[in-house]
Amino acid sequence: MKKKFGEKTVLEGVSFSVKMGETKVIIGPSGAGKSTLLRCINRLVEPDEGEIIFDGINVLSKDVDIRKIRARIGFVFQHFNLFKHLTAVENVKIGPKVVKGLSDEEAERIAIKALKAVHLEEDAFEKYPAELSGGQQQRVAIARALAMEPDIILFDEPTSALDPQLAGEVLDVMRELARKKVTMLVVTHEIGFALNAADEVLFFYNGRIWERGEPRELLYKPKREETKSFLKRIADLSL
Amino acid sequence: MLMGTAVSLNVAMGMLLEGAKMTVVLSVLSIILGLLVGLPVAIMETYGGKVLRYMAMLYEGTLRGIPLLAIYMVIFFSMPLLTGIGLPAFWAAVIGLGMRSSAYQSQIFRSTIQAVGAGQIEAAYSLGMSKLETLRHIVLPQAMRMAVPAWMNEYVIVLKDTSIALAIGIVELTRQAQYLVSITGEPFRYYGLAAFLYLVMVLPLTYLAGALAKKYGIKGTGGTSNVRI
Repeated sequence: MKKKFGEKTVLEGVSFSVKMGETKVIIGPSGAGKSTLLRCINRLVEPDEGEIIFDGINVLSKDVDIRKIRARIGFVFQHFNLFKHLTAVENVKIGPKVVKGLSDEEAERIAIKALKAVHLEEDAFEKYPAELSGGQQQRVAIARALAMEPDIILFDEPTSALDPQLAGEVLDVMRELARKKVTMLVVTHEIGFALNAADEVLFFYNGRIWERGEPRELLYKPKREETKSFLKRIADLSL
Repeated sequence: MLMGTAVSLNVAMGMLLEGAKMTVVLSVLSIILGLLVGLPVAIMETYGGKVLRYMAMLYEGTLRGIPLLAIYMVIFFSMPLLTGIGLPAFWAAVIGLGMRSSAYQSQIFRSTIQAVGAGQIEAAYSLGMSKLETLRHIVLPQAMRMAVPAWMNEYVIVLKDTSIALAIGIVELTRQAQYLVSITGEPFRYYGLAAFLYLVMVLPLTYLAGALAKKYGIKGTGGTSNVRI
C-alpha cells in the first residue's frame, strides 16, 4: 500500500498481515506514516495504491460499502474523540443503536457489558466526557469500539495524551484484551506493552517497514542502525 | 386638528399593548422562518458540495448585505410589479424579517457546526455511521445546543427590528407610539412608554438566554460557562 500527501510520500509501499487473535504493534518515529497507515485501513484517509484485504474483501474496491467494513473495524484515537454531548453509556450505545439498529435495551445491555470489560467505575457510567479523567475517557472509547463486536481494533497512540499513571490503566485494559485474543493493531510508543503483549513488532521508518520481528528479538537485539537509535531514544532497555 | 388631543393612560396603554402583541407575533414567526431556512443553509455551507455551498454563501451574503428596509421595499413594493403577485403586508413583513434572520442564523449554525471537532466526526465514521447519521446524532445535537446563546441574541435583534415593518404599514409597537405622538404631541411620554415596553420584552429574554445556555450547554465546552449577555 502506498500513500502520498501532495508531493510527500508518507507510505512507501508497506505490506503485512494481521491474523485473527493476534496483537501486532507498530513503533517508529513520528512522521514515519504509522497513523496514516491505520487511517488508510478504514479509509478515513484514501490510500493511493495497493490493496487492503479484510476478511477476504478488498476494502479499497469501488463496490465495497465502506460503512459496513468500518462497523467491523474498531478505532481508538489518541485524543479519545468521545461524543461530548453523550454520557459514557450513551457514547458506547450509539454505535450498536444507530449503525446496527439494535433496540435501546439491547444496546444498553451491550454498552454496560463493554464498560465493565474496560473496568470503568460504575459511578462514571452516567457522566459526560468532560467529567471523566483522560484514562477513563480512553477506556470508554475502547468500550465504544468493543460494543460493535469488531473483528479487529486499531489503536492510534492510545496513551500518548495521558500521563503515565492514567496510561497504565489503559494499557492494563489493552493487555487484557490481548490475552482474550482480541485482534489488535496498535501504534504506540509504549515499549513495555509491545514487549509483553505483542505477537510481532513492526518498526516503521521513512514510510516503510524497516525491521520486524518477535518483540524480544526486535526490542532487545535490533539489527538495523535506525531501529537501535530509535529504541535508545525512547527507552534505554540496556542495563 | 388632532394635535394636542388628550388620551387617557388606559387607552394609550391599550393601544401600545396591542402594538406590542403584533411585535411579538411578527418576531416569533420571523425567528421560526429564519430557523427553518437558516439551518439548512448552514448545513449546505458546511456539508454541501461546491455548488450548494456557493449558492448558500450567495444567499447569506446577499441578505446580510441589504438593509432590512430595502428588503421590505423589494418584497412589498417591487415584487408585485415584477411578478404580479402581491403579498399582504403582514406576510411580507414576516418573510422579509425571517429571510434576513435566516442569513444571520445560518452564520450562527455554521460556526457551531464547525465547532464540533473533526475528531468526533472521524469517530462517528469509524463506527460505520453515514454522513447523515453523523450529522443527525453527533453534529447537530451539539451545534444546536452551542448555538443557544447566539440564537437568543438573534431573537432579541429580530424583536427590535420588527419596528422597521411600520414602513410597509404594519401597526406594531413603534407605529402605535408614533400614532399616539401624532395626536397628543407628547413624544417623550409615548416613545418613552414604547421604549419601556421593548425593554420589558427584551430583559427577561436575556435572563432566559443565560438559563437556557446553562441548561442546554454541553459539559466541558465553552458554550456553558462563559455566557455573558
